[in-house]
Amino acid sequence: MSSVNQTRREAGETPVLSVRNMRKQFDSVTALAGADVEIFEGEIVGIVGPNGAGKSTLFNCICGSIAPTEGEVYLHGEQITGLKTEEIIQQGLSRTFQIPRVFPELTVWDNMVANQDHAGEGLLSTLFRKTDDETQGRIQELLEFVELEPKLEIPAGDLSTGQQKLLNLACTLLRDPDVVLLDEPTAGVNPGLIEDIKSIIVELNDRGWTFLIIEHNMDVVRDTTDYVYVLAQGDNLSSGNPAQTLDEPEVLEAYFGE
Amino acid sequence: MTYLEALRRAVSGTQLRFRRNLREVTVITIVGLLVIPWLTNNDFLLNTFIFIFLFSMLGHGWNILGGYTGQISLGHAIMFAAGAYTTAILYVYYGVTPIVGIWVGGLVAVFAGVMLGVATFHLRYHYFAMATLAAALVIRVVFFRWDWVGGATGIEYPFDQFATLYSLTFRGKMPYYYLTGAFALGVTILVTILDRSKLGTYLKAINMDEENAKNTGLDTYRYKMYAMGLSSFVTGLAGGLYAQYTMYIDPWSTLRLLQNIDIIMVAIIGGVGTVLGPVVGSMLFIPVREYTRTALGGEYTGIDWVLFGLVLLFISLYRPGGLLNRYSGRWGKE
Amino acid sequence: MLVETHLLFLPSTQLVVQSIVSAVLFGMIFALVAAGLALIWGVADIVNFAHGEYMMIAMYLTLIASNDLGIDPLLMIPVNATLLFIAGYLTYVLVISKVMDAPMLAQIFTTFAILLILRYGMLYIMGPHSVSVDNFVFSGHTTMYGISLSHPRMATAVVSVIALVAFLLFLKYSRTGKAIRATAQDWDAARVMGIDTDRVLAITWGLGIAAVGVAGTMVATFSPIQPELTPATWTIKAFAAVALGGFGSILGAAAGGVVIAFVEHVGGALLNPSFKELYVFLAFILALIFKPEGLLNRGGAK
Repeated sequence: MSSVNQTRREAGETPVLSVRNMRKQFDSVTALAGADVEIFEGEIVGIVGPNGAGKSTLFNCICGSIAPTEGEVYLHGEQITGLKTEEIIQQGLSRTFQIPRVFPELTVWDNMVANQDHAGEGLLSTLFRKTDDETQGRIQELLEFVELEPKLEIPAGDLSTGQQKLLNLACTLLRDPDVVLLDEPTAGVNPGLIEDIKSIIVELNDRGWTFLIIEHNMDVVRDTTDYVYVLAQGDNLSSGNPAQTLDEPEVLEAYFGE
Repeated sequence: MTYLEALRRAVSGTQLRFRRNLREVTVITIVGLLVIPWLTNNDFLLNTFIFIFLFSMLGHGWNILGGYTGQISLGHAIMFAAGAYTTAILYVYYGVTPIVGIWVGGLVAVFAGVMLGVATFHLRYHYFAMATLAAALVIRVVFFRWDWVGGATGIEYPFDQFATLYSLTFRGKMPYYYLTGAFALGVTILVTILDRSKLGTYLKAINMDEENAKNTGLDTYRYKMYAMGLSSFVTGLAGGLYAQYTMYIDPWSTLRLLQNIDIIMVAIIGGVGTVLGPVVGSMLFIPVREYTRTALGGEYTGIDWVLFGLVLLFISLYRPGGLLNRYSGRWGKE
Repeated sequence: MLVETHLLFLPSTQLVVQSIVSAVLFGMIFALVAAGLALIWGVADIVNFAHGEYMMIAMYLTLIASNDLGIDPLLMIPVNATLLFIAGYLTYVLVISKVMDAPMLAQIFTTFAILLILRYGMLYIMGPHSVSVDNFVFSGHTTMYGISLSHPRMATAVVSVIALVAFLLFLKYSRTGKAIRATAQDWDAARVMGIDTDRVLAITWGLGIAAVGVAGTMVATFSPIQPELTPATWTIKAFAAVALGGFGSILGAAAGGVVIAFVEHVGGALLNPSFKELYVFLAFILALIFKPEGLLNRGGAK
């Protein structure tokens, strides 16, 4: 939405996250067939496409949950392909899942505690030292921001879907990641909350966070993203400014012509 | 808001009430336990308590890996034996005082546990359980035929240095009572600290959803190893104490299949993944076990194990988490 | 250090051949037992820790029939097969069905509880002594080229092969068998197709236990029974066989059974025989650690 972001991309700076020629083959199913994606710092980038386009698989490959058949992922220019999930997360990525994934028996607070930066932690420090004050302050702040603060002591499994999504979001931000990957942040959420989520993402982006978002809801894409990639059948179909790209005939064909 | 305040808020209303009462109950229990040996000379009773203390430790130990972290091990007898044999060997063969030996035993148990973990942690739950079971059997077979550890005859403590502090053996049951009681208390405190610590939260998270835990940046393998280390250490200590008490160890008493089950029973009955579970479990399990052992014609009739089988069955069907565990419904289901 | 440290004997050819013969014979038996375990595992995704205990029950029944009632073990085969089928069926209906959705901890301990109840129940009823069957129509042995061929073992092996083949054919061609295989592959799809998955699981348990019952009936003709040792030995070997053959693959488990028999008998002949058991356990662990999918990677006739 901000022109600053477009300039960075146009200026040809190094993308903070880039995916090149991502391929993934599952036995006879080709989930990804050479997708390329670039995200620049401060942007909100959208990934759209009909079902089966490989969007979630792309996220899984980026985050190391699945090993790609071919292709590379670069974070700050350094290759992270093939690293273990936890290593990739520690390098500065964070992701959410389409269906919210919390630790159901842990309280909201403890879910956040589990999501703090784990660099430098060891047996003795995690056993005998509590979460430090600064981190506690940030947890408090983030939970207030997503308006989950009154629910601190509730087991996360008791929250509604929308609330769990907000918790997921707060959790991803705690580590101050370089790129936040959101997998359909508004899926399964009631319309009122969708508006809240949209404004939260935009506000966070104004504060400097970079997002890569998979979305099915076109309004959300049009209203929040700076740049959009359209995937179909595992490969790039089109990309560009959301207002124009989403109206392209091929894109419409891919969505409705199936 | 400090973490302590948040923690206090993190405890729901009913649990808070329970905890307030719990504090009083705990104090009363500890005072009561301290006084018991002065009130009675009944050796059978003291012996029962000693085993309650030992099994509380064993239950705690297993619980750290199984209850909190979700790695169900059926081979903890290995670490138990490691502690027992190390303590015994150091003393009987080399004259090293068990005051030091027990701790060395704990460390050897850690080594054994970590090796086991390295070999088997990549296996999924069922297979991990079986692999640990198989490992325990392998060790047992080896120990049966290994001369240096005494083979089938085991190791017996010499009676000439009996009842000295250096040998950590005593004439009556009372010193053993306090010794094992102190260790049991110490381990309980350790687990309490664990339960409320970051590590505890991380282990519980790994138990609930390991994949998601990785997505928080947690190196789950490393944390599972921490759990294995703590778990093995505690189990090894209990093994060392056991050797000191019975003054005789052999592969049958330390490594037989049912040894693995004994260890687990107290945690299962009392509450998996809770602090007091193993304590409560052993307070229920051990007296019954000792009673049926003597009253129902000794362990050779087998009826006591039939009873435990029924208890275990009942618990598995209706309260799989154990008595104290609230989470018997949704749980780490793969 | 170890008792009898020399590991490698140089055994005579006769000894080696003898061990191979034993391995083949026992391989057939292990294959049957392992197939039963693998069926339950593959379809219900439940590890039956009490597998050996059911086998022991069949052995005891055969013993009583033979020693007290004068009924030949061969006649007990259909009797035990039926009885143990019912036992397996009831086990599912009464116990296992309640833990199908439970956490894995509960499943493990349920079958373990059954192990305790059966094993120690039998200990209580039958006593701790080792006992064996007295009369069997095929007793004795023949000696050929210096190799001793025990008649009961050969009979057992033959029966095992027949039972295993019948088992596999049933699974492949009968309607029930197809329903079982459909359920094993995809539960929900099977339900959609109208299969009563609950009944299928009960039958699966029945079949798996019946298989081990047939094996037990015949094994009793040459092996003494001791309630604490016997079931454990057979369960572990069955597990090892299933681990080698790939969990859930019945053919694989059967093949694994043969491999285990070879590891035990031929390994025992070539290496120090007092560690026979150890070789099996080691094979088991190594199979678990290095190839959890088993040696036969593709699923067999499920």
